Amino acid sequence: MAGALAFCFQPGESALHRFDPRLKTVSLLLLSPSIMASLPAGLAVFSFALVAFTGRAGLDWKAAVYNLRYFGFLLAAVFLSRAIFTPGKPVLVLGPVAFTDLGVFSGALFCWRLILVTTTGLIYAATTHSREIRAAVEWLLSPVPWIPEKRVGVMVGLVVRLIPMILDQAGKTISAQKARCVECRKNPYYRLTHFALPMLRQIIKRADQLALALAARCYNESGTPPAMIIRPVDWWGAGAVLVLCLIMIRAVFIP
Amino acid sequence: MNMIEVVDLCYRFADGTQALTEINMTVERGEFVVMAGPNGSGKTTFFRHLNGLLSPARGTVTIDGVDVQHDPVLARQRVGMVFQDVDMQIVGETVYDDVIFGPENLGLGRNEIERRANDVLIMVGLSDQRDRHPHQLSQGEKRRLAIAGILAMQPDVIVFDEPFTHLDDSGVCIVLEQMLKLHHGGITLLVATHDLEKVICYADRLVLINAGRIVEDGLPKMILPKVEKYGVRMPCALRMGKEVWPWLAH
Repeated sequence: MAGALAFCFQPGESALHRFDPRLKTVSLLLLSPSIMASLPAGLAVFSFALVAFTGRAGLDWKAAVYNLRYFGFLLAAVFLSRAIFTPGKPVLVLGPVAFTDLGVFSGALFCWRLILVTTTGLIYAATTHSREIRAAVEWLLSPVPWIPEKRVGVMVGLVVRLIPMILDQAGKTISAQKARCVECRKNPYYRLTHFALPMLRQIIKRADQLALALAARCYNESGTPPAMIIRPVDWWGAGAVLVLCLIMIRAVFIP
Repeated sequence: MNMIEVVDLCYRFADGTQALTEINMTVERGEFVVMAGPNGSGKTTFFRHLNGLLSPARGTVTIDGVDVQHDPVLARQRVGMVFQDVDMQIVGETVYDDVIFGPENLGLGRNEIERRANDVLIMVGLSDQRDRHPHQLSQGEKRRLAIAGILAMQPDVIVFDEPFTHLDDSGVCIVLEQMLKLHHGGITLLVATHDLEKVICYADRLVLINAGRIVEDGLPKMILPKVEKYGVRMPCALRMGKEVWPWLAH
């Protein structure tokens, strides 16, 4: 479970932990598209702010990076596809494959954005209780007609609980297979099927047990909501996020 | 009035296996009942009927006069269940979160939730661990946390499903002490185990279940000589013709 802990709430008393969950959720919703629209100048500003704010949050970055190591494959694939297939002036030619200047720039930029969006999401999950996430989702959806916000809140709460469980189960399945020398098998299809099927079976079983555990303790849509108060400092924080988003979007227009 | 009354309870799994057959049983308020039987005998399935996690195919279960099927939420509040796999039971992100999970679901006021959480954390000796992640606790601490999560809902009955699984000796003693404290506090206890040695000296009653049927029910000293007939190991001392000593007196 220790590895999966990087993906769930990590208790702390940092400013990010104390930031009102509703404003934190709105901030996340504003930041994600801003990051995806931003150019290097804006991303640099945000990266600096991210490091400055999260440095003292007491998060286990080492574990998070370790657990996201497979995310590196996705980033590499994105970078390579962009670097190779985007038209431009070739900067590196390896046989029939040519990396173009625009391609390398576009690939690096896209990877940078993906890393920042993922990191922002991880920080949000690591500094916000699942019950606060649930309450924030309910609060955000309450003015929207036809959407049962409490039910959606319960679903979000369940998903947040389920993710570390899935990662934990994946770790256990991998360990069990390594204990029986799965590395000796070089066929990726064999390894994939022998990993995915037992893992899925176990996940379904554990999800069933989790549902029982929640039902045994009267989990429902109308429990006591967490005490949430928006303090002046939270408004300042939300204002700072808004300014940051504007800087990032404004940076798009800076030549 | 009996605290628990089970009448003609039958249950069949989705694959057609008959799990429980005509279970009839009553438990008085404050009683300490040990239920023993081999793996797959139906102990867990029976316990899950006590708080409405499973619905009987036939028969009724009433808790303090209220049919579980009519008000399962009340049943879950009154009958707390400590699961065999406590890792599955713990759902909070911190020790404190897990304790307040039940009271929050009951819709209690914030002050009452805080008061109950503080009280039970002190009671189980975890008040200095309230901000730790539950998965960083030892197995014994996790078991105590599971008990705390149940106690915060102020149940009248606590059901322990194999409470000594994965525990070392000190963990067993701590959990056993906790159980005795609860029993002396007037809580009705039902303990499912096939490890009778640790708990039988403290029980008021021993019930043997085999293949989904209650096969023996009575005073522990009357039932103990028959347990091996049903796949449950007799306490070592008894096998050697001696008296079984209380586990905590070691």
